[in-house]
This record gives sequence, structure tokens and C-alpha cells, in this order.
Amino acid sequence: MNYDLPPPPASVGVSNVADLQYRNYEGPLISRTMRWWIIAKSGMQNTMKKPAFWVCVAFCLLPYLIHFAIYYFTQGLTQQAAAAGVGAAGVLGAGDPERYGQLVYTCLCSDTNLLSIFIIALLIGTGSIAADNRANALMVYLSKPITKGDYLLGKWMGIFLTLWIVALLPCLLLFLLLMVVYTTDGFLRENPTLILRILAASVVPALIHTSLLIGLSAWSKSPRLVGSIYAGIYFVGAILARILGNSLYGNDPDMNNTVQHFSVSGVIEGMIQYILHITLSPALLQKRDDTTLAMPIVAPLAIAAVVLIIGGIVAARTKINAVEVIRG
Amino acid sequence: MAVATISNLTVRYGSKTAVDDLSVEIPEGCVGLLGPNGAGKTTLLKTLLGFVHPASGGAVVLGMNAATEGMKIRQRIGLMPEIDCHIPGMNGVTFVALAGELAGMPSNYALGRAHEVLEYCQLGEARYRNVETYSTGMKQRVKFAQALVHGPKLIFLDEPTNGLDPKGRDEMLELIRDISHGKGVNVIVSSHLLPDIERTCDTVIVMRQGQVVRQGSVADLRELGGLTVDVDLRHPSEPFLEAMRKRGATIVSQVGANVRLTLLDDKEIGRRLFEAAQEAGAQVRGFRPASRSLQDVFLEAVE
Repeated sequence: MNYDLPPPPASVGVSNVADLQYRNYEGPLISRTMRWWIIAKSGMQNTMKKPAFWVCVAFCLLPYLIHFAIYYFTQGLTQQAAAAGVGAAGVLGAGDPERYGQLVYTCLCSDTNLLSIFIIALLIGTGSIAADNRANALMVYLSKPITKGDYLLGKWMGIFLTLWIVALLPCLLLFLLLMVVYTTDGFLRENPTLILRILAASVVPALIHTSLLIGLSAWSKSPRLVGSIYAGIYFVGAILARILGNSLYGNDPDMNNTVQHFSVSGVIEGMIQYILHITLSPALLQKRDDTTLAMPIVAPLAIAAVVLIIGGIVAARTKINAVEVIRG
Repeated sequence: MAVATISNLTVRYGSKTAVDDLSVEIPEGCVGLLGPNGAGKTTLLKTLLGFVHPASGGAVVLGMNAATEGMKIRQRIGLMPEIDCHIPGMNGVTFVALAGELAGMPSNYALGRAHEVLEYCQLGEARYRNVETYSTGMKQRVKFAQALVHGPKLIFLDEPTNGLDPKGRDEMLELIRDISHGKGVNVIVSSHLLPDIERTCDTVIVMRQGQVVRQGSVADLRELGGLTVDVDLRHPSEPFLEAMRKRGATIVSQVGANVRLTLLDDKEIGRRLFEAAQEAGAQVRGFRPASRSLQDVFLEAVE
């Protein structure tokens, strides 16, 4: 019996699929003006692939869903009580012109939301330049028609846009829901600038986290080390600011409140409160008495925010070099 | 025609002069850049890429001024750096496609071309694996692929066989040889490994202390001149050497039955050899103009 296989057809060896010959590239080469966008896009695409990112995004949405549900039902009860002549102020106070801004603040500055944004920032920001430093990726980037500025802007925008979208989208959804439900109650008439305030307020955490993480990341080759340092700055800074505020200005509520905001999370919360232009009500502070919390003094907070943002960017810019320069 | 022309180039890092009044034309084809550590090879490459601004002089690469048109140059050339480098968190095809996009390719062209180039570099099966999991040889090949993806007319390869095992080295040298011969791509290879240069390059530039000390085709540099010949005898023969000495030859070296000798003139070399052999009763199996290894050329140039 003949067990030999039949010979392969003659075409197998010359199949186009197996053609490994080098062919010159004849397509276009574009001189882009927004070269940073390629780096930013690539960073964002990498982020989207991480399951942990989507878990954090889900956590970001939670406070919005919960607060909207509470607000919707209590507001309904308040209206029914008012119609029955009983009189009630509702959770955020019926007729309070700040009530929608307060609702946005409650969601945006809730512990869950701020922590989720912080974790997302760690997830995508710590390795942005540190991992590149470890893998010598800068050599690859800068051997292409890319400048140091393009690289830095691309990395910065990749983190910033992701964080901003994560912070902004739920706010916009909340705004749309409020608009749909309360337009007849004069929602748009009472809050003509709320949408602009939301746009500006949601930028703050993205701006500060991005700049600080980029600055730290550029000086390291270890994303974990950067994450540890930033987490330390974030949490220990908040505790220290609180201790400092209470010990230095225990009798001066305004100064106490302002000094307590001198941390990364404090600056974020303070600036958001200022942009939304609200006083924190007893309900927001979860207090049973009539205590309210005014806005912290804005000038030192704004200066602190600018220093954090510019400081981070300058730190990164200083460290990114195209070539190792030997100094004689 | 020259792919790069360097005129009176001086590059300084602080008080240290890395390249000193260097003038050289880099011809088309595969060119080897040789020199000991600190000779200025990497500085020269960085200057040609537009990373380093010269203290004086200048360089023109593919018709563009390196000092003012660095971005345009980097769009048309490819660089395979010496150090291990990749963009972290990406598989092979994403990495190479991103390199193509960074060079100015539209994203759909870049992706298609990345697949093609990875196949050419024998990384077809590993293209969806994270680059961080690649072996040293694969990392070298993916670096080569990212330098090649946008179809550059000139590629700089800095120590392309660093850390490769013999098989990987063979494959990499084969790729370099293939790309630089008949494919319209010019290659500049900077390496310490002289056999690699000898195997891939047509022309060699030897640098020392920031200056060019020797330049020419590999064949020309290896040649010792028309008056030195290598003679293969059947057996070692002292009478043959004596007969040649009588005819004015100087014996340079003798290894077994192989003799290297220098003649006073190049008249009828063959006839004189055979007469001497006949007189000494020796058998000449062959003779040819003597050549030396590239290592000899290099050592002579840098010492």
C-alpha cells in the first residue's frame, strides 16, 4: 500500500500571502500640525483597553444616579406637600436658586466620584512618561518628526481628555435630566449659566491631576513609585491641611475653611465650589443644625491651583530630553 | 551621489569636542561607521538627525539642512537606536503602526504597512504579542521594523546586532544586506563588530577622536596594493622562499604553506613566481593580490 502523500500543488510555494519581499512605501507622508494628537489618541486607546478603567467609570456614575433619584423623589414629595399647604423645604430647599448647582457639586465632589477620578488618574497617569522612560520610548518618539513639546502635549492631553470626559459626561447627563424634568419649573430661566459652570468645574480635577502626575511621572522610571508618591501627597496633604486649619485658625471659620483647602483634593473641591458659586447647605454637609459653609477665599486657592498645574508641566518639560548631553 | 554631505562639522558638549572639523561625503548603499568608543559616531548620527546643533559647519542629509530641517529629515529617514527601546503596553503591530503614524502616515496606511513590514522582519506570528514579552532578537527586529515602516530612503542602524545569538545575528545581517541592496534604501550601520560591517557594507568610514581617519570601499581598504601577493604552495618550502628573495622579494609572513610576500615591482609577477618554484622544486597551487581583514584596517587606522 502506498502511504506517500501527493505532492503539493506548484502554486503553494509562490502564494502572495507568503510573499515576504520588502516593498517600498509609496503612500502619502503628511506633515501634521497637530502631531500631539497621535500620542494623545494612542494613550486614550490604551486606557480604553483597561477593565479597571471601566470599573472606575461605573463608580463615577453611581453618585449621580443615587443623588438624582433622591432629588427627584424628595422634590416630588415637597411639591405635593406645598400643594397640600403643609410646607416643606425639600432636600436642597425648594425655591433655592443654588439648588441645582448644589446638586452638581454634591455629585462631582462626592467622595466616590473624587476617589474614582483620582484612581483613574493614577491608572493612566503614573505610567504615562515613567513607563516610557523605563522602555526608552522617547528615543522612538523623537526619532520621528515629533518635538519634545508635541510629546509632552500628547501625553498631557491623553490623560486630561480622558479625565475631563469622565468627570464631565455624568454632569452633562444630569444637566439634561434636570432640563427635561424641570424646564416647566423655570430650570433654564433660573440657571442660564449652569452649563458653562459645569463645563468649567469638571475641568478642574482633570487639570490638576494631569499636570501633577505628568510632572512626577517624567522624573521616574517606575509607575508604582509615582503612584505611591502621588497617593501620599493626595491623602497625607489633605489630612495635614485639615490639622493645620484647625490648629492655626480654630476661631476664624473663613480662614480655617480656606487653609483646610490647601491640599490637592482641597484645591479641587474649593475651585469647583467657587466655579459653581454655591454655599454648602446643612443637607450637603450632612448636619442637623443650620450650619452652612461659605466658599473658601478664592485668590490663594486659585494661585495654588495655577502653581500645581504649571509646576507639574515645567517639571516634566525640564526632564524630557531628546539626547543625553555629556557635559565636559 | 551622496546621501549625506558633512562640511567642517564641529560639535561640542560643554568643553568636550565630540566631532572636530569633520568633512565627509556618505555615499549611497550600505555604509559602515566604525570607530572606538568616544570616536563621535553617535554624535554624528544625532547631528544628522537634527538632535544636536553644531558649534560650526553643517550637514546636508537627503538634500536637507540638518540644523534647520531636522523634522523633515526625520520624516524621511529611519533610526534603529542602539539601546533597547519600544513604546510600552503595545503589541508589535500597534507599536509599528504608531511609529508609522508618528512619521506622517495616515492611520489606515500605517496599519497595513505595519503588518507588511513585520512579516518582512519575520515577526508575523508574534505581531499580536506585547512587545515587552519579546526576546532580545525579536526586540531588535521590531526596532528595525519601526525604522522601516514609513519607507525611508535612509536608515541609521546603531549596533543592530547588539545582544543577539549567532542565529539572530545572521538573520539581522541578512535583513540589512537585503534591504540595502536593490531595494532603493540606503543604510548607515554604526557598529563595533567588524565582521558585521564586512558582511553587510560596501563602504566604510573609520572615525577616531571626532575625525574621519579612513574612508573607502571595503574591497579597496582591504587591498594591500599590487606588490604584495599571497602564494599557496603545496608544501612549505624554504628553497622557494630563498629563490624569491634572490628575485628581490621580501617575505612578509608564512603560515604553513601559505606565504605572503612583497615584490619590488609588479612586472611579470606570475612568471617570476613559477620560475622560483621550478628552481626550488616547489608546487604553486595559486596566488592572488594580498588582502587584509577589516580588523587590520581598523586597527591600523585608529592606532
